[in-house]
Amino acid sequence: MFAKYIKLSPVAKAIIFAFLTFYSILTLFPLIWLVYNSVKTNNDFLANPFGLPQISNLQLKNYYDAWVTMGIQRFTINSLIISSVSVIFSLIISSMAAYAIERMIWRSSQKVLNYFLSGIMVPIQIILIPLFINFKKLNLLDSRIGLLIPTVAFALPTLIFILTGFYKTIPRELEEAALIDGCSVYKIFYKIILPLTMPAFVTIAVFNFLGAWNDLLIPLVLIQTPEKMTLPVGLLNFRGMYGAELTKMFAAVVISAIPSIIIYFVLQDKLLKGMIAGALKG
Amino acid sequence: MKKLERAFGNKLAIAIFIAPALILFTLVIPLPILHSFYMSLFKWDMLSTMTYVGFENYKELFSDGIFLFSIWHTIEITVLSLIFQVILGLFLALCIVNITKGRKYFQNAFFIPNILSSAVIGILWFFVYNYDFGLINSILKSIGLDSLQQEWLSQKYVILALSITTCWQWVGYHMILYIAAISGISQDIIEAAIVDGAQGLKMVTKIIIPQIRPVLRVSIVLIITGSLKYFDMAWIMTEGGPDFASETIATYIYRTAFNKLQYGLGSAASTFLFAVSILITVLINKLAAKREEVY
Repeated sequence: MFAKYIKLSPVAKAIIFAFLTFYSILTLFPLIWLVYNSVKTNNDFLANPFGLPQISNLQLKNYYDAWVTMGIQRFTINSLIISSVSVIFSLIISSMAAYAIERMIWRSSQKVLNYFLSGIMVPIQIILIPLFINFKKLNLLDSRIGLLIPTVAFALPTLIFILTGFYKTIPRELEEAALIDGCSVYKIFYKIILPLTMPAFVTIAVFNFLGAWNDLLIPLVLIQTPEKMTLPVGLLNFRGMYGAELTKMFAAVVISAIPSIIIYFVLQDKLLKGMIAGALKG
Repeated sequence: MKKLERAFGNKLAIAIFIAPALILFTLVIPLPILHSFYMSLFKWDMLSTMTYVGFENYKELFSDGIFLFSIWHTIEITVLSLIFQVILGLFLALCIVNITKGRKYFQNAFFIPNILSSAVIGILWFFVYNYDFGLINSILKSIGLDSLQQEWLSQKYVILALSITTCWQWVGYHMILYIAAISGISQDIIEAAIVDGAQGLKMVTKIIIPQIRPVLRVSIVLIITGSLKYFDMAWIMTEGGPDFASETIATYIYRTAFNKLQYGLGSAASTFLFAVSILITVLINKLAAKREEVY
């Protein structure tokens, strides 16, 4: 490890440690502040926004109200459905395409790969207007399918990029052996290639899930009725409707942050490794 | 291996594997980009009929003061984000690689904001910056510095405030990349540098930064392309306000198309944003290629 080669005096180390500690508190404090204010009454919060809540008067009801009465439950379920279904479709479609590009033998495969990769740089704002207009014509506005289509499509370039990288490392001999045994390419794909790349799939699936879970702009443009809103859009809508009940708002924000935090802590090593690999390769 | 070539060169199989991705991608990304350019040549509000106006929308765009401001704000956010995230990220990374205890805690603490959705972050920081009951002003008040209380999301400070929030969200991400890159520097190079007497700042500027140049490039590209499409924070916290003081190119597109229903003008702004993104990507790649020749 790097640290071994640089000799820092104990004083220097202590200063660095103190700075990091201070800065980490600075970073985390807004979140802590959010959490402890979410169990105050609105009046307590307005009277003293900085103070800790009274233990005798914890407003756990804020969470119940946000979750049940004010509809965060519905937004969470919508987000779960959209994110999981879009991850499944994105992975199936992109792993098939990446297989054809990387393992099958045809002349334009690299051109097709570059065609997909050019999509990585496209800001989503550019396609929103035509998408909105065409979806209106096709009656896909304000529907789950309409929301899934662009979510999956925008995940494809990055996924194909990562998956072609994985497929490159699989030795040809495996496929040859299977071929001699009489397997078809389709069978080779789902009996040999897919199981081999399963571990990698977990990491990219989580990335993809978080991406869809956190996305704001696509559902903001395509979804209009509160019943179909995902969490990010629902939260903004919630703020519009219950903007005066601040501590309930805080509870709603905490609830919508919890899933991402749980996913992160369960899978953090994998996630960080995947993230670093992704960025360093690009 | 004739059999291999025949099996893996099977045109039908290739078509079956590639078709879903190819069709979906083409329908959702390249075609709408062309459609967007086409629409930018018309005036249309979806209710009346479309009228062809040539490049009139582009003229209107560049004589619209708000659009010009939105370009300027986007540039400001890009520059501030580069300064905050690269410098702070690098500084945090250098601090973390030099300690042994608590590494994991610090990495997690700085990275956690990055996994939250922008809706969560935007609403949280909207309250952090609030004048009457916001976190910053109430801390200032409780330590007796009432005079420093500000309307943080005011015309004067809003771009700075948004950039700070974005830094909070992203600095941990770049820090993690830098830590990985610094840890990957070969031990021989570090040892040789120590023998040559490189220490402290000299070690950082002469050895570490040149060694992690490829990662720095990736992170700079990510920050620039991210800033170009800057939307979420500006929309959630201020809706581009107050008085368009935080209008970015992306919020301008959204407002023009979906609030004012001027689809032609919005498409012209989208097409402009697309052209700029391509230009910048090409430029960065060219510059990077040149740099690598030099080194």
